[in-house]
Amino acid sequence: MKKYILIVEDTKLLAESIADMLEMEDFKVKIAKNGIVALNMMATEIPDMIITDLLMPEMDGLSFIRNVKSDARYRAIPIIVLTADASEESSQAGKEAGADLLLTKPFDDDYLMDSIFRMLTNE
Amino acid sequence: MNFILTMYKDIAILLVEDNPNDVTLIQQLLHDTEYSSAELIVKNSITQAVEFAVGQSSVNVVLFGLDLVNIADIEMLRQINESYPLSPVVVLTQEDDEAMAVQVLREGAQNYINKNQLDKRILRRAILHSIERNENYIKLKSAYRSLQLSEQRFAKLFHFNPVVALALSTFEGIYIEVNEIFLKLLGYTREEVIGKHVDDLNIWLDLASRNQFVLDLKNGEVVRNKEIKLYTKTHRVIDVLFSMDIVEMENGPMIISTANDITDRVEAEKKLRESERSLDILINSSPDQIWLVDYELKLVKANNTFFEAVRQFNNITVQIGDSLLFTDLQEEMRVRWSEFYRRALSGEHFTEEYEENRLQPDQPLCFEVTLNPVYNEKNQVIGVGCFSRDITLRKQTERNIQAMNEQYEMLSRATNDAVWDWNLVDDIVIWNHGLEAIFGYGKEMRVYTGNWWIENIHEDDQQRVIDELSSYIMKGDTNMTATYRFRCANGTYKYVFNRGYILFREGKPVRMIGAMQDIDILTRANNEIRRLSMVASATDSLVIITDAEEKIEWVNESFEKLTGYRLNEIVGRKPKEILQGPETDRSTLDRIRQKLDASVPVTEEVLNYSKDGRKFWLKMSINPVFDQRGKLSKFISVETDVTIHKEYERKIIASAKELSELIENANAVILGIDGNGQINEWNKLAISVTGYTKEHALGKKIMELLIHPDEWKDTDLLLRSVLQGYPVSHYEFPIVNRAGNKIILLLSATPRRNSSGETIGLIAVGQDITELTQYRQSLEDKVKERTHKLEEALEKEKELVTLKSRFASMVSHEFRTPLATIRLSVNHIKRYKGRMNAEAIDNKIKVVQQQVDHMTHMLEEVLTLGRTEESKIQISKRKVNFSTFLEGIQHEVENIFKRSHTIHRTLNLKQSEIETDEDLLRNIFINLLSNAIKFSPGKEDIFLEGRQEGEMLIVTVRDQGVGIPEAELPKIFDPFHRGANVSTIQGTGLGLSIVKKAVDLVGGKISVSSNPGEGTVFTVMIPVG
Repeated sequence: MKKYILIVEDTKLLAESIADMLEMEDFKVKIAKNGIVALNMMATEIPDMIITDLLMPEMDGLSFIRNVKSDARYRAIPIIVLTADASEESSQAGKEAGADLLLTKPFDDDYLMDSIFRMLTNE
Repeated sequence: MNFILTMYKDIAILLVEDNPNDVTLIQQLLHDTEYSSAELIVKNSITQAVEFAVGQSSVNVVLFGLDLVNIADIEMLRQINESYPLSPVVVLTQEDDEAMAVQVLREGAQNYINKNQLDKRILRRAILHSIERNENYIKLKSAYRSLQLSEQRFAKLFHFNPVVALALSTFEGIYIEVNEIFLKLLGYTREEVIGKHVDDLNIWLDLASRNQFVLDLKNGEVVRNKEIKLYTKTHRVIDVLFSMDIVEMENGPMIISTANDITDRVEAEKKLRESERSLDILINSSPDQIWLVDYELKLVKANNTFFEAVRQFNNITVQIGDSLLFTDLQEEMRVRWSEFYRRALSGEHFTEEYEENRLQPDQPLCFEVTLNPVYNEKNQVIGVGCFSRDITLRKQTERNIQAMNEQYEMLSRATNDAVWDWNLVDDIVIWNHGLEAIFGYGKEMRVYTGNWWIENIHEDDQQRVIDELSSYIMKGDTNMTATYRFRCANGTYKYVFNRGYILFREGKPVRMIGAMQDIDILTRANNEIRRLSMVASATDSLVIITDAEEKIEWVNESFEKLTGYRLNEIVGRKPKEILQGPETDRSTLDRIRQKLDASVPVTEEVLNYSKDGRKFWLKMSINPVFDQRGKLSKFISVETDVTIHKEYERKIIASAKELSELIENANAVILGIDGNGQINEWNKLAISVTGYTKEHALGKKIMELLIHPDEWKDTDLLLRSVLQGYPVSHYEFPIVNRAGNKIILLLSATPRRNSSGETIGLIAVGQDITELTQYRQSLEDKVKERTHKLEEALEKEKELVTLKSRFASMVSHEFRTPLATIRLSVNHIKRYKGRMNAEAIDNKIKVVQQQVDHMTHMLEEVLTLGRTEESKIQISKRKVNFSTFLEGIQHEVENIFKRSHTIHRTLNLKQSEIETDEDLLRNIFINLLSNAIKFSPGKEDIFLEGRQEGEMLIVTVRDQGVGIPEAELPKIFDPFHRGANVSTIQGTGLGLSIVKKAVDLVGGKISVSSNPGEGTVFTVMIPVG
């Protein structure tokens, strides 16, 4: 069965580019434009991995991650954060919220793929 | 990277370089960069470069080849900087000296490049970097320029102020700068002070207090108007009023100390106090009444005896400042004293006696008053010093002696000898009136016989007298004496002393002439004199009895004691021969002489000399004594030693004069105020400072004369507190002078007390510090201005830092995402192109193109702003049909946002065409409408409304979107500012700053109002032509 990756990203073009690439690697991919939409989608199907932006309308990335990590059903889902903010504070906040990996845009997509494979196999 | 080319493609670069090889190298390097098309101006000397600057608009960057070997090169850099104040300078050098590099940057160079490491990358970056910073740099420069100006003004104030000594020092106490007044006041030269530590210069008497001041200052306390003492270089102590302030200088905070010389005032105050005190002691140690009145007859000063006497005699208490001709004064006294004062005020110095029977009508007291006019230095009478002493006892003595003397004279008259002339041949004896006076035998001259004489000799003495007489005749003696008892007409006997002269002719006695003296009376008279002397001795007064020729007959013991002469050495001499000396006042003696010659009593004070030459003042009352027939027979003089009185008088007059002169001439404003707030002292400086003469000021209420109504409350409190006995020091006392100008007196006021210690007024010593206050105010203003300027410069710097960090965060947020998308898309093709069909690849390329366009758009926004900031945009006005124009914009924006919102356009214009710059207008409305849509998610109605008011178009863009928080409203036109509530909506934060610039350029105005959650309205006003 295909692994299901949920992309939470409000910039449609970027979200679609990631999705295209993941689909080429044979993942099942869905896109949510913010944290609230993502949580709704997760209620019907639990993803194997979440890739999320931090700056989003309605519910930002950090609140979303905290929501995910505080829910027993989702706690084990690995989370990769893509952020435009290269600052140390930002990555610290992401880690504290519970992100497993933080990548700063524009990220190395080879490294992103490697990380996804590694994290999903480890599981 | 085409945007950089766009940005700087037509810049001008000035190269100042004397080495042709280096010029070639730089030309080559530039050719390989995007600056290949830039205008490169080459100058091979400083002089040429400076000349080029004249009349030439500034270049974008100066590349300056500089061999940094000595300080002269730094000077060249300064010249370049001055010639191109608006251009960044990049220094190119061979040397690799870090200290020089730092120096170069400090002198204002933007960058520093080692020629040996020069390549195109470094050169490109240096140029780009310095141009980027140029604008910020210019802003900073202008801020510092105004700072410098303010500093110059400060320095001017520091050095050329006329009144105050100033010193600038570090907190540690090193003198950085002092002004001329400082040097003049303390007697140093500039070299002796600058750079020295306060410990090394012996200026402070109390260095600990300086340290305390600095500590206070650090703790934020105020150090103002402290009275301290300083040493001059010659070790003279001066009093100064000292203040300290912290002032922000370029090298950090410093202490500015101001010192105002108040030595004169302090000295005046001290002298005044001392003088008042010594005068108090002096007058209160005298048993006499002493008082001083001014020319209005108001009491200025008095001793306890005086106050006590006034209380006793008038049953009234007078105070300093009261008129001495008070209403309750007995009429007789008023007349007498008015006359006394009038005489003294007209310059007469005199002594009068009068009787005072108000206390004991039957036993009047006798007073002797002396009035001395007090003169000012212009020889005008300004008051009267008065002395009154109780001479009742002395008068008593005088009267007793007078009475005694009359008795004596009576007796003395009776002792006139009975003179006889006995003709022995015819036995006839002729007697004079003495026979009647002494023995009572008939009034008329009559002829007696020798037998009658013999028969009347007491029978016990008769034979002895006859024998003695016979014996004289026998011996042929011509002089005979005999003592015996002689019978009076009434049958009684008197002792007589008979002296006679016997005339012989041819050996036989023919005539005897002689006189019989009543020695009984003489004995009694002697007894009287003895009694008299006892009375006279009982007094301290000197008593001299002279005969009519003024020859001394008798003096008492007091006389002997005081003068050192014994009675027996001076009997028969005249008093004036032995008592007067060189300093005895001739005019007084003349007055005495006249009185004595006229045989009338006289009272005078005379300076006399004792036997050993000691001077003493005698107050003498000389009374002539007449015999029964009215013939002058004697003088009786009763004299009192008034040396101590005289000395008092002299001292008191001198002291009072000194006091009045001190007050008058003090180098400080002195004013006295009585208990009612009326002015009772007013000196010369008070006149010159206020413009009010004594006539204006004396007796006026100080409040009405000098104090502005706004200050009444404070002044009243102050005066009241002093009148309650609390002195104040260094009070800044605002007054209004006659010309209506405000003057600040630095005032110290002390209560004035009467001899019972009650406060009766105050005396205030002040100094005009108006100039000082004004100066201090301007100094404070300058300090504030400087601090403000410095803050402004810091604020500018901070703004620039914020701007940069905003730019960085904009880049990170807005560029990273499209970059990530581009990267992903490109790698996608790279990785999967074998599996992708042409359409899929095309889609990816489209994504890349779209993202590149997006980024370019953002960059253009940045550049547009940059250009407007530098005012490089040339405004080009054309006729524009506004209605058509807006319609076009509306459709354009609606299309960009794929008709997600509806723009409702309403226009009500008087003219369809306006004259304006269409491109700028586009910028304005595309941005405003895009914003309205971007920030109104889910609220699809946008309102675009326009109307014309006179020469202005008023266009509003209204949405119902997220709105702008009130706190952000003032900042929304700042570059890179983004609202706190829109972080998730894409944007550079430049749109509104571009709008603002564009509105400014077309000569319009823009304003905004907004309610978060309800929407925003932008109102743009554009001139129609």
